[in-house]
Amino acid sequence: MKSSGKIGFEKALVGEGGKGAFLFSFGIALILFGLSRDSFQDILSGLWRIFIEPDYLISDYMDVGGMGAAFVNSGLLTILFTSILVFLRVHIRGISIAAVFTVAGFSFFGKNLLNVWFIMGGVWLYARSQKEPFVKFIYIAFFSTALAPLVSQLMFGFHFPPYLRIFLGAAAGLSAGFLLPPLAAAFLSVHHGYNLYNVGFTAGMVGTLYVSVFRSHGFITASRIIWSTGHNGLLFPVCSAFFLFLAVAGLLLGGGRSPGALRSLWKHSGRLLADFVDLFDFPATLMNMGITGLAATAYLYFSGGDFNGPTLGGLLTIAGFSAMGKTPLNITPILLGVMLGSVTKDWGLTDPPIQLAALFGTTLAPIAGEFGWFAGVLAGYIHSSVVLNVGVLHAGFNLYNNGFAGGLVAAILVPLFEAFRGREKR
Amino acid sequence: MRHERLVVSRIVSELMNFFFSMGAREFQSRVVRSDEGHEIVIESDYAGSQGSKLREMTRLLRMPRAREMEEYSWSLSGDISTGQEIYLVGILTDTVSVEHDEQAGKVRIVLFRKWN
Repeated sequence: MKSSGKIGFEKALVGEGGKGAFLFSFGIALILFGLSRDSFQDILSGLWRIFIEPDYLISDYMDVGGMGAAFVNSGLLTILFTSILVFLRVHIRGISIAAVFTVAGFSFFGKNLLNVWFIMGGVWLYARSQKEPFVKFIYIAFFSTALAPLVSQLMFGFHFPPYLRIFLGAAAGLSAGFLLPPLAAAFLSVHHGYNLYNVGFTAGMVGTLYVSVFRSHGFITASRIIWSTGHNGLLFPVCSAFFLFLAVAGLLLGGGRSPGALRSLWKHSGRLLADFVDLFDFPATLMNMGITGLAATAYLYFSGGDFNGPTLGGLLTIAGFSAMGKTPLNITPILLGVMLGSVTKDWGLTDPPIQLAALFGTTLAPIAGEFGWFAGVLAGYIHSSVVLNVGVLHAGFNLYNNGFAGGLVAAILVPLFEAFRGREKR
Repeated sequence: MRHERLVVSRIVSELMNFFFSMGAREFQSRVVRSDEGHEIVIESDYAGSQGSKLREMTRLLRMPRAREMEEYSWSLSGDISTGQEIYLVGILTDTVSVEHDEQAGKVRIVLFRKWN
């Protein structure tokens, strides 16, 4: 039997236009929802407050600028980042959905229409310096916006003259973006792809470096938690309906083929680079995004969590990475590990950092997918401790703090699991 | 790409890893470097009847090259192998040809990766 030639994307059930339209529609839906929550004037003033507020962890934009402005900020960034992919003629895959949803999610607590571009510019400068097209670094650029709070802090968080603040903010953003691309590839081999938020791990390292320099010059930012509550009555049904819509849309688009493809998808470990759109097509991926999103929403609600900017960011990031690695089967052990931690450790599941640790701790889902449930529970249990201790290193300037902690946990656990797994598997 | 040599060696490593996990006893690779790029020829046997795994391997090798993902993902190939990284080999190469002799239990793969 002989097979040759590459598969054409025209064979996919949903074409390029359809996947692009999905991302654009998602952005438009976010904007429309935001516009329905507050008056246009309030949204504009809210966006301004979001721009000028230092937004290191944890800064809930629903509290800073209001719910309407937070949703509009997220929707506009979703549309802009999708437009970049379309402009660069990038094929929309699982990683594209993961990247755009991650930007959308973190635009509820740290990324805004002002601060992301300096990091992106730094990555662009790196591409220029290497004489390579920017498109080759596009996903690193998208994920690197994790360090956007560096820009806001320097521009608006210190009492320097305005020209100096703007210069320092821009310089920090550009230089951080410039450093990240070579490091992101290098750090992948530290955790062997078992930490889905790889750039978060890298950004944590770079953020630690920057904050160390700040601290040694006497610039120490106090930690804080800006965390809104009281939105569960509105956002729980909205999130549930959105994820249910994704699951049903995937089922209908697949024309009967989605359930079978979904079963195959759920057998995947999820280790990077598990691009579910390429591997199992878009409809099954959409179903997985919906069902995994519903599972995470149910966890947040029934564990007594708050639906607000940061947790909405967590839910959208889980849904996005359900196009590249996460499934209900591999995130559940991680969530159980965090829940187990609430029994033996001196914190509760409703503490804001723990709510985020549970949702974003699913960055370690591939450990459960590859090494089994026990390994996943153990990873979640350990992660929930590590993540509370590493944030101080980068002072919350790396929005993907769980990616940073997850990288450390995976780097230690994976070689141990590999060493003790059955010989035939090695 | 700056790491062209490393990428090619990891492609070979990944496939060797894959075939040894399939019970191969003899794995041969040949890499030819030209002005156009690298041609990678793999010949391997495997143990037992593993037709479905090889069909899946062929499907993954036929994934179109994805230059926009290379910087993000190339260092994962040839790492700890779970047999799923064949997808990475697929998106790192421009053309592929797979010949599978099921009766003899042998596979011949020809991959080509253009210079950027």
